[in-house]
Amino acid sequence: MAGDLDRHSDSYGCLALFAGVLVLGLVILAVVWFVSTVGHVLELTPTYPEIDKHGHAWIDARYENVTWGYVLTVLTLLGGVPLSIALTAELGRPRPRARRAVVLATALVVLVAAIALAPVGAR
Amino acid sequence: MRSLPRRTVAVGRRVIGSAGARTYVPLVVELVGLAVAAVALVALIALPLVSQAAIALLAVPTGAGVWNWARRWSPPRSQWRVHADARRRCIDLLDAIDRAPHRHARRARHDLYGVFVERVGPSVSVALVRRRPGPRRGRVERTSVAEERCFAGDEVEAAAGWLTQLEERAAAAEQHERDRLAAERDAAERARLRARRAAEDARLRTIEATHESELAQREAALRQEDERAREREAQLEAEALARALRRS
Repeated sequence: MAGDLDRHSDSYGCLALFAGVLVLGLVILAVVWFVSTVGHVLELTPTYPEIDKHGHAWIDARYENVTWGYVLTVLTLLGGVPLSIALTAELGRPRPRARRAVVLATALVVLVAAIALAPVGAR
Repeated sequence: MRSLPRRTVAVGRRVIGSAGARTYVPLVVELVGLAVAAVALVALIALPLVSQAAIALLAVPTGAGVWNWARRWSPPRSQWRVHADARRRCIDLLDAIDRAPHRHARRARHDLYGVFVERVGPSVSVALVRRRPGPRRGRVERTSVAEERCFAGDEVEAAAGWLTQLEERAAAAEQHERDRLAAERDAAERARLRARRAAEDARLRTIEATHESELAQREAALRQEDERAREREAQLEAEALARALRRS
């Protein structure tokens, strides 16, 4: 009886591990797909289907510094969007605080300038 | 000829410092800024269509700011009057204190007093205003009305009497504040001198004590040396006596 129980718990453990790995893989896939789409809109990275269908040489021929493109895309998503929302809220106040607005706007201008001027993205 | 530039500078300073210039120039600058911001917004919105989507990160907050700013000026003509009146009132309130006849220093470390005269509908309000000490920014917010009385348009004598009374009170209140500060400064100076004198006395006492202990040590050393010399002499005398006894 004890052996049967052990075998059952082992199989459940394996199933849970498999399901966990599967869910983790799906999450990673969704994140990569989303980041790639946003990066493609910003003209920084290829889309996920492009990465999936084509090889390294094809991507290198059409995009330059893809890694930095992903870095800039992640910075935009994690830094640029919250900064933009904060600046919108600040400038929408009845009496905007000038120093805070200037700091936020400076950070955003630097990010946008990096996206626009860096040698990254579609050739 | 030599005094011409000085006179020109004085006239220029008077023009720049006038209430009208201080009221309308910032409003005109603000409106020009609004126009520039609106043009910048249009340019920012046009740019992503031809180049970058990331411009949207800047275009959205800029749009919010311009919208907020434009709302402040809508409808333009009546808002212009409202803003100009509000600004003029702030400047008059500041001038009531900064340009009071009894003014000594504008940036004093004590409460400042002045008399503020304002038209309120058909009557006139004459108020004693007070400003707490602080930085240049926020002067208007720190200014408060201490005492106020309203007069009808035909009560000229009563209004003039009250105005004179308030001006005297404002001058007296400031003089009192200055005296209080001077007394506090004197007390602080006296305390500082007392502390310095006490520290000097303590230092002298320490030097004296050190000197005394050094003298005592030196005396003890001399006494010990005398003792040793006496012992040596006694020993020599004893040895000489012993030698003499041996010879005899």
